[in-house]
Amino acid sequence: MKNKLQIIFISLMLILVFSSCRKWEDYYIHRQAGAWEIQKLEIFDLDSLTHDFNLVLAYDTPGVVELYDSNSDKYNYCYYSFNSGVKYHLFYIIETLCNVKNHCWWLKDNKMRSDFWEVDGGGAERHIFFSVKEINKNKQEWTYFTNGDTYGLSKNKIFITIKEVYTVERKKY
Amino acid sequence: MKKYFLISVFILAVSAVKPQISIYGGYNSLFSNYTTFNTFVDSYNAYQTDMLSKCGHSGFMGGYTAGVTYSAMVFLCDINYNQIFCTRTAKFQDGGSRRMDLKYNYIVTGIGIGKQFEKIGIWAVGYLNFGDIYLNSYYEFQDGSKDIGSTRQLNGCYVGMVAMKFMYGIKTSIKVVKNLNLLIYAGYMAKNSLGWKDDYSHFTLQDLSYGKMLDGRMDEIPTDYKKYWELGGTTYAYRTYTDKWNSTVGCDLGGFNLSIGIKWDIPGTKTE
Repeated sequence: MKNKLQIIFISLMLILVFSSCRKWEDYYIHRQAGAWEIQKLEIFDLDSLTHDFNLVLAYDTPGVVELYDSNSDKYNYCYYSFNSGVKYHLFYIIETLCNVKNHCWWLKDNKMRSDFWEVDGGGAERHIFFSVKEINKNKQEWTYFTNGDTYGLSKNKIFITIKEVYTVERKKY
Repeated sequence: MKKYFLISVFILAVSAVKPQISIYGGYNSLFSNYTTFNTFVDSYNAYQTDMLSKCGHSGFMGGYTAGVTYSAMVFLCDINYNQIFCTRTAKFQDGGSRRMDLKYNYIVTGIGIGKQFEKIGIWAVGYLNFGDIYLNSYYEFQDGSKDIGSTRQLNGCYVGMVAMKFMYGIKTSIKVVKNLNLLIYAGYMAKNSLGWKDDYSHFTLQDLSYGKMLDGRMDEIPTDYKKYWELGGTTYAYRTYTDKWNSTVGCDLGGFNLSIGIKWDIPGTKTE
């Protein structure tokens, strides 16, 4: 009895120690991978007097973002598709800078942050960070901030912060 | 490599005696003195002009501990997993705030010498701990939305590795009912890792993101925020390179450690 218990506990300890050796990047990428349907995309600008965000533009179900786990901590394939009427979205920046269409790379190294990136014509990496808020396992809010009116949409031209909020849900297919 | 070494020592120690096996869990706290982080905080507070409330020092951190002990004769072998965390916030006049979530995940293993009496057991213990310190730094707007992207200099997810820190203290077990005990540990956690002044004993907190270095940002947290802001990340890193351990926030988290929990003696494991 005693020997059995000793073996069980030593095994449990070994599992605990070795599981802690797993790279966090692998953990977060595996957890984040999937087909995410964008249920809502809202674009806000910041009022410099009240410090509140004002809604400038909103789209319902504007598109889908597919995140593939390619067993890499950096080179994971991302495919995205937006409805034809949706002109303004974050990936527009990557497309403009890097001359790509509907795809880029992605990675995730932390619960709070996700990184989409691509290489531009000059060989430089262009990274865009999302702040990630987990609502539940299959529903998240991705928020992107930019210091600059990327799309020329801001009503308040004095100020220069735009916030994009993507409410996304993982599809089970 | 150190993990294999520590596990081997632990298993050898366990197999050499006929122990009482116990498992335990409880609340863990650290009254921390985190010198480089506190230096950064002081310089950050001094440089900001539009603060409503200043960012605090590392100070008290709370969390949990869970582990296994083997005790026999006068010896105690112990291995446990711990997590302690705190959030420090600076509020600004525009309604926003700079938030810094600090977390230390670590594994502890070590031995003790003492005695288990009928109702009470007391051991002087010495431990080694290793793990990772995480610091998520982000800006929170008035409406609660969080920006951890590249728009602000200090935003980032920083991580630093603790190679091997020494801990020592007193562990006390007080019998409550048959196999249940109250377990109290009080001790001190060293600030720096063991070893000479080499890279392994002086890791710094780093944002390992591939995109962090764009636009001349620094992937570490400067201890002199005014100098960093005036020089820019690249120049600051270049000019302070020879004094890296004092010019960036490192892993020198340590202080008085107190944990209180419940220990369960597994029936049938004691032979004496």
